[in-house]
Amino acid sequence: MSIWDALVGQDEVVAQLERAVASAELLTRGEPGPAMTHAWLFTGPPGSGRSTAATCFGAALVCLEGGCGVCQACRNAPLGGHLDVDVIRPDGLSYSVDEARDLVKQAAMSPASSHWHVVIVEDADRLTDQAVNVLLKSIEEPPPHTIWLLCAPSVEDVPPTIVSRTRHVALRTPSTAEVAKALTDRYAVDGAIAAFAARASQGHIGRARALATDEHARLRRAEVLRVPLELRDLNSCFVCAANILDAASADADAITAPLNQAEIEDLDASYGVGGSAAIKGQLKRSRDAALKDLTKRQKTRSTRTVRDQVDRVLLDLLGLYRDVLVIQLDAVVPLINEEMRPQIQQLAANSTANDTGRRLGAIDYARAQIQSGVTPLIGLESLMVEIKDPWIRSASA
Amino acid sequence: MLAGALAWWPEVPNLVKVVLACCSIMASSLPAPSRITIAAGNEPMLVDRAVSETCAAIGALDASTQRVTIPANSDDGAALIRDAMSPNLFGDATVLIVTGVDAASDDVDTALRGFIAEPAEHAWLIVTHPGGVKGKNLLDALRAAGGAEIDCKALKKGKATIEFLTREVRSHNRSMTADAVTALYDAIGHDLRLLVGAISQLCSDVDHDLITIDDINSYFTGVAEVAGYTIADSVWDRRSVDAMRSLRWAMAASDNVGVPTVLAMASGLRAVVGAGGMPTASDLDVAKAIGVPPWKVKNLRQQWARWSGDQRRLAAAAVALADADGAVKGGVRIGSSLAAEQKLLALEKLVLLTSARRAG
Ligand SMILES: [Zn+2]
Repeated sequence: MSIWDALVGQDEVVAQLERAVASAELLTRGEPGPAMTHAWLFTGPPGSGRSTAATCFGAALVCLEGGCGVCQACRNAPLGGHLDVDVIRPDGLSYSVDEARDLVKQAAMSPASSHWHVVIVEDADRLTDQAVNVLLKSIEEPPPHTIWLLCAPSVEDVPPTIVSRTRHVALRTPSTAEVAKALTDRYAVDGAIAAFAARASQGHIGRARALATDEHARLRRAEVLRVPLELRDLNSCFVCAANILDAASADADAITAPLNQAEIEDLDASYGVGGSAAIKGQLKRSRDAALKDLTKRQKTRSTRTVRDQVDRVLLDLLGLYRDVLVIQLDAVVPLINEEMRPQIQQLAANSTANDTGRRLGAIDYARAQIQSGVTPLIGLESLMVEIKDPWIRSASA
Repeated sequence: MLAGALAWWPEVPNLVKVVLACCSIMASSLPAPSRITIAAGNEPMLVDRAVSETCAAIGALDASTQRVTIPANSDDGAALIRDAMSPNLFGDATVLIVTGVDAASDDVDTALRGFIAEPAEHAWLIVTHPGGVKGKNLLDALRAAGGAEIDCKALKKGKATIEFLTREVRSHNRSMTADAVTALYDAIGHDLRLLVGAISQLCSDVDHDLITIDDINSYFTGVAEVAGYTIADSVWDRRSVDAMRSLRWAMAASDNVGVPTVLAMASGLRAVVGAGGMPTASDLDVAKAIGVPPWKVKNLRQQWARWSGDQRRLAAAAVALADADGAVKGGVRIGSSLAAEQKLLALEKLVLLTSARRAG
């Protein structure tokens, strides 16, 4: 087992990063390590695992074994649960100048328990020009132990000033076959389920794993895809929006609950809680403060995960209407949701390709809204209304 | 007509009426009203106040007074005026409020001149006139007959309004620092109704004698906090004028009303639609299902009924709400990843079209 197992169909990237980790190890001993550098740019389409690659790289750098995949550092770091691996996301729509200033200060801190302080900047395409100016100097000449890992969909999304100061790691979308193979190899998943999960997730590896290994996730997906058949009136639109949010929250909970539990256990263990003697005084106050801080971070992560899972659900809906369009245009391509062919045919028969185009656009726009900070339930309610009546915007204009 | 005007007055035994009348006379310190009162000017707040204060003064003389409001341009205006002037069954006093006499029809003009010539014993007349030359002849006749004129002209912006506000505070037997008056005016703008309402609220909320700029600030913080729900209630009640007024007020009070207002409106809409979807369920079941206190359910059902013929607009409102939420949070950013997927989707559509067995 190794930390890199989380990446699928990215052999070249893994080789590049393993060389870098080996070089980093040499650098800590004062020897030259040419494959390592202090600023990296990870790019790749959604679901390809660009953040996963960055966090795995971060974990491998702080792991004493160079990325064993089993130690506490390897388990916690990818989840933002390691002191020396900071995973940063913008609070709002983009990184403000203030956030960038804080980030520079945070990056300047010395590592706590390992040799490196890794700062992972997700959504680096959301850095405003002013924020980039604030970061540039630190990215060019960071403090001696600081490593910057920036993530973005593509090189074009990031200002050239950043691209020229970073080493590039490019991930690609894994094929359905690669995803299916990874699922059967690693999780001993039945071949048919692996094929379904790979197809349904459209190359999104995290989603594929959840669908392959969690029966509830499969059921929730099936329920969500029945939604378009259930939108009869305004009330059912609102009910379906709430149900979708519930399904996404359950998906998010399946991801975060085990992490939360493990983090709290680790924290308690480090303070000696759970032994025969109860902790008291200064130690108890210190542990309570740490727990409060951890709970706050977990809450932020949970909110973010729900948003991400809503996006996953909307991608499922997008795939469904793509299938509807395939039928309506009588195209010779396989359906993503082959197992739902009768329902898809029904949806196709009851609407025009023009309607479907509006619905696809509405789903895309709702994704952008929710990613931009629109309250998920409000975004979903609006979307359900638009799916039921794709011409509603012309009515309100 | 007479029966209609009496209908809303409960059948109070005569003895009680007498007692009530005596009490109000003893308690009253209002000046004795004139038989004819003219509210002249076009500031709605001042006109309303002139009318209601005059009515109160008349009511203090006789608690059983009836109030009849007649627009001067209405077709049956003259008949209504004559009705009101004729003696009624109980000998109750009547306040006749004729609004907008600048636009009085010839019949109404004649009926009013009839009142001037021969005022009814039990009747009091209040007319409103927005100013200007129209109907000036009638107005002069009312003045000549001893009509007391109350100035309701719109206040000039700035100094005149500030002075009015200062007097307004003094009428509550309170005082306010000059910078506090200015801050209040700046925050609310030139809307006398809102300004007078705010002063009245401040005078009853603030315990210490002198109202300062700190009191104004904490008052507006409170306003902004409840504003979202006030606005939402008005919107789903379809009281759009009230909603706009609350919104303007809230926006004057704080820069950050957008997000809470959208949230309040969305949860309001959710509740209205939720209640609308359970027409036959008990109030208690609805309350449980949608997570509101049971006493709110009746109101939600009424709100739903107000929109029931207009479901598509309500649906469009849900879409507009999400758009507004995006706007108040700084705009919707079409991310590059999304743009890339859209490109992919567009390409895929192209591929689908070209691979289609027949044209779509
Ligand atoms: Zn490890």
